[in-house]
Amino acid sequence: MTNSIAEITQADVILVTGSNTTEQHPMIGSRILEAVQRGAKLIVIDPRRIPLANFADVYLQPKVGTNVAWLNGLAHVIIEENLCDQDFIANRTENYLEAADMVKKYTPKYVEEITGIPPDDLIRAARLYAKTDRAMIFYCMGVTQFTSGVDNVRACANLAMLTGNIGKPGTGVNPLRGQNNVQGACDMGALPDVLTGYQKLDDENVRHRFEQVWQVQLPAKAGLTLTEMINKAADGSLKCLYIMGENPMVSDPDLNHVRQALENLELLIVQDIFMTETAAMADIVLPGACFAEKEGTFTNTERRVQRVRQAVLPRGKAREDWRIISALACKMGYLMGYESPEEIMEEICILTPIYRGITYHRLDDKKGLQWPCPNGVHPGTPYLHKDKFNCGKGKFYPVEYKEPSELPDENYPFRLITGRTAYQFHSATMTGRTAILQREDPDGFVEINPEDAKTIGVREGWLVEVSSARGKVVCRACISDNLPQGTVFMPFHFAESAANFLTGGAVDPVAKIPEYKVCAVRIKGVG
Amino acid sequence: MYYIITKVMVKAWLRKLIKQGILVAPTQLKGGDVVFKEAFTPDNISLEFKQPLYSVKSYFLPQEETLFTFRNSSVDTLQEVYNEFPRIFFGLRPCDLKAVTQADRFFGEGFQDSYYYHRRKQTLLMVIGCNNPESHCFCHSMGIGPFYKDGADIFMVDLGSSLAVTAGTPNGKAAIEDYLYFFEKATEEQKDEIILEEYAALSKLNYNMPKDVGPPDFSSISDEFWEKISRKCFSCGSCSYICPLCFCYNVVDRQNKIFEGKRVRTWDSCIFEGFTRMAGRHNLFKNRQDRLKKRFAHKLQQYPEKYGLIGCTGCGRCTVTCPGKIGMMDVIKKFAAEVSTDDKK
Amino acid sequence: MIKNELAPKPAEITDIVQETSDTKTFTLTFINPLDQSAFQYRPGQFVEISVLGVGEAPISITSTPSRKGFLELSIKKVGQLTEVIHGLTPGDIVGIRGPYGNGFPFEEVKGHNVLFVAGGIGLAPLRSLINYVFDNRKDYGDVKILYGARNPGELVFMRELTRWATQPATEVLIIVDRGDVKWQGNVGLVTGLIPRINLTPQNYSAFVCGPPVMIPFVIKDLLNLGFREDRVISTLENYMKCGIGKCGHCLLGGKLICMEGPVFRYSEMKNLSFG
Repeated sequence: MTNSIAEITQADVILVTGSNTTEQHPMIGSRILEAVQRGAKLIVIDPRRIPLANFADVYLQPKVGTNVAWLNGLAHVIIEENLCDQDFIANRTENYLEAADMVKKYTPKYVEEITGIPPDDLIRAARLYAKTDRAMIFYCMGVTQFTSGVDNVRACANLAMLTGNIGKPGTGVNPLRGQNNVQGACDMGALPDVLTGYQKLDDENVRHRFEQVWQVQLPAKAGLTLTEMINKAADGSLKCLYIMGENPMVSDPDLNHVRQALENLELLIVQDIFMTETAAMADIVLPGACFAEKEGTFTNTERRVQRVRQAVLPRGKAREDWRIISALACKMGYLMGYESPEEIMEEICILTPIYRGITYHRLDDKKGLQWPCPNGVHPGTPYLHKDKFNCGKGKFYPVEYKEPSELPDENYPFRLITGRTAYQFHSATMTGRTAILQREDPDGFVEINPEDAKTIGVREGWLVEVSSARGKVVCRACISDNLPQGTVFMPFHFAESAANFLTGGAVDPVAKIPEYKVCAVRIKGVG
Repeated sequence: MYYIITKVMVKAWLRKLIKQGILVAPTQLKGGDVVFKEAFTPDNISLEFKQPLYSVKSYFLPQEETLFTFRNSSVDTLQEVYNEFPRIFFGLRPCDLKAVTQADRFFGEGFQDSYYYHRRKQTLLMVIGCNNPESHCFCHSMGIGPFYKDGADIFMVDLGSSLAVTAGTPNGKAAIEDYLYFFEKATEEQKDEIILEEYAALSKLNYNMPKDVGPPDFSSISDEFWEKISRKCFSCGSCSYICPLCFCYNVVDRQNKIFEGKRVRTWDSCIFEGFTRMAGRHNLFKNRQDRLKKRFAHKLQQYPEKYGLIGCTGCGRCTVTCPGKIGMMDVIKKFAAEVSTDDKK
Repeated sequence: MIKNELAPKPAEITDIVQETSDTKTFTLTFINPLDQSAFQYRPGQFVEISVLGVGEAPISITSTPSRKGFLELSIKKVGQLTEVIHGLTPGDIVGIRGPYGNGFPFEEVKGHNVLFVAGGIGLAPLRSLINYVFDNRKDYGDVKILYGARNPGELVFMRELTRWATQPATEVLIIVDRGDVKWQGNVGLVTGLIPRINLTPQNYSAFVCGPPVMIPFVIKDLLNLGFREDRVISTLENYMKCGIGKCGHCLLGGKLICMEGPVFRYSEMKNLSFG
């Protein structure tokens, strides 16, 4: 997030897209509802009518996978109606003319052809977002999990810069991270081309600093992303995979391909707190520790680093992840001699400019610190890009609408959106083992529009087979008018009816994120 | 008969009392929250008497409680698990006191709950009157008040540098009279002070919610009202979990690979769809608005009809915790608005 | 020493009868003879049966308290627990808590004529009262039994139905929604049998048990025939869990079904609504 959660109270307009906020980020959803109750305006843009849409002043229901079209459409209206923040554009940005040129053809009518959004509604949304001092954009997987994911984000950033809604409180472009520490993991360089703090691996100076501290030579070439790893495992060029706290056998796309890939490995090591579907395939299972069993920090979606403290000891042979990794490194000939997570944090501070002022001692006193925190007395940064962007001026990236990699045809006439339910989390490793949560969301289903259900010939609760070019799944039908005709929705949590048998391996060319949010399926009743 | 003990001496008195039981008292945590915690010494307890975040429900009906253990599914090996430690609860507010005495009736009448019985049988309830109700408090609308003390073993009033203390039961009397050297009899002035504190507390409460705004006639509330409320409900169950008077529970059996097993009960909530779901997905309360209506009708109408007591203590915790802002206080205020607009129609 | 109402007592399965493809009747005797003699129940009550490690479920008692030393439960295989129970054999031990529920008002209907209308496995709880009535035959008037099931394979207690038909002043009519090649009897819904019986409703009490879809229709027909609302008695299938009025799951219309039910007169039932 460029801004902070507490700033929701300062926003006049909140635009939420690709995020089922009240069900997936309930605390943030709650604050948005509070803001709306106090007079803030809400725009919700989602192909599925999520509960938050009930409170929207403007709700747009585009076809799934058409984000760039309506984002450019909003920009088009804002430019056409002279609602831009000209000062901001002139002083703080570059490349405006190219971006303005690109959106010229995205008239409301053109956008309607692609997305299905009525022109008047698009115009209303654009005016609402632009004609205000402070507007916040919130987005989540409904923006990123596409082959156009990076373009979608760029288009959001363009909107924010166009209207000067960045670099001050109550504004910004705010992705809602989905796990408690995915932000922290990225911050620590769990990405193939960066070291900690997003410092580029191929920057010699950066690499040398790390090499000095770690006393080892580092590769200069970027590694593989998760989807690339699976593909390379499948073709045999990747021999060994060491998986920690991830369950690709349920959460990766194209599960038949994933199974084949994992089976093809010479060595599969899985470190997890439960015997997951992936761990069941492993040659070696290393029992890890859960959140209550280890010390360290978590970094949340608003860049806030907070302490997590060990409340109970790990059970049996389970150990904290840092201990397992250190022990492994030692056995492999590299002496990782950390005595405590605090020691590791100290090293992080030395090597990571945005974390430099974040120490355990400072985290003890307050409710965490938001990076960038460049020194030991810096109070942390509630919002980014205050007077300048990282690279000086903010750059407009013109983006063209591209169709999703797979669209419906006569064989597979429906668009499938995969997503989440309120009570299960991810591959249900933890929530599926909790009696009441499992009772609330016991099994998989496919949400179908009532008209589509009539055409297919199924009723509520009937078993159906959902199939795509990759695989098929049997689950029960759930009739809902939250979906437009032609689009269906399945949660991906349930291994026994895993939606990811259906999704495909097409990825965004830059980020390599899979297109979980749209693929083509057909549905028929069974038994 | 009120006795006075200086605050400086309170901890010394507690040090005597805890020879007979574990002390459970409000303790301030690092982040500033105050919670009831078991304390081995009274040194770190908070005498500022802010409303603790949670009630004492978990000491009588824990969030997860093992009912019994067994081996190899054999009923012969069944071993009941009881928690029978004597406990001294210091600093309960009247809302939480009411919850305990109401729970006594609920778990004691009909089939007596032996687990509750064992936890409750040796407890001393030392209740503090509320001089400073929070902005979310409305106990005075729920049939009690900031200085309610029925069923308390000991009732105390904060007089600034001292506490006024009175006994409500023989156990409470003994706890004072066995250590009379800590106490002095209250003067007339101090007795007046007690009355003034209660008055001040009541006026704060009247500001939160007028005293006569209480449970509505449910037949006058439209379905649209419940539908609107249900849109804001996250079905998270927090209201039930935090409510001192919500005791609904779920029971599950657990067994590990070496066939050691146990039957546990855990807190549950009528707000969950699965609470009333039967085999074959048949569910009388499939819609969220039906469940919400049932919850409020049960607490505010049906339960009072059965017990003569309201199913809410006015502690306001659900109002604080509900992410959709439809806690009891919010809804009661909405009832009042709904009924008054009906009158206007 | 206060009794732990939540701890089951061990009971041995002494006999199992396969009634239909998915329903079995289990005969149980408490291991401890004191538990057995202390187990006094009324027709229409239920027990909580446990397989420790799997779970617990409420099942109505199908035997009559007029026959001592054992109890019978008819259990349909609908979920995980009942599937495990179906896998048990005589000699195996289960846990039993109870008896719970209010039971049928059998004392009140003494001297009355009694009509029983059952659908499918709904005959199981009624069987407890039917056999009680026949064990105390002179205390009751005429008896009529109407029983329907989806198909002949789903009829339960067939051997007893034939025996009941031979009892004095008793009429038994059986019907199936759909017959098979061997079925020679009536075909249709159980409501179709109601016009076929000859009775003056004022002198009758009716007991109705069956699948939730069937009950409203049967009750409607009985009321149309002239039955009094407080003389039509049925059971409410609701989600009972603890059986002792504490866990809250069976709360309906302000009543805890496991304590104030599951047997209700229609005059009470119609007032139980959602809130």
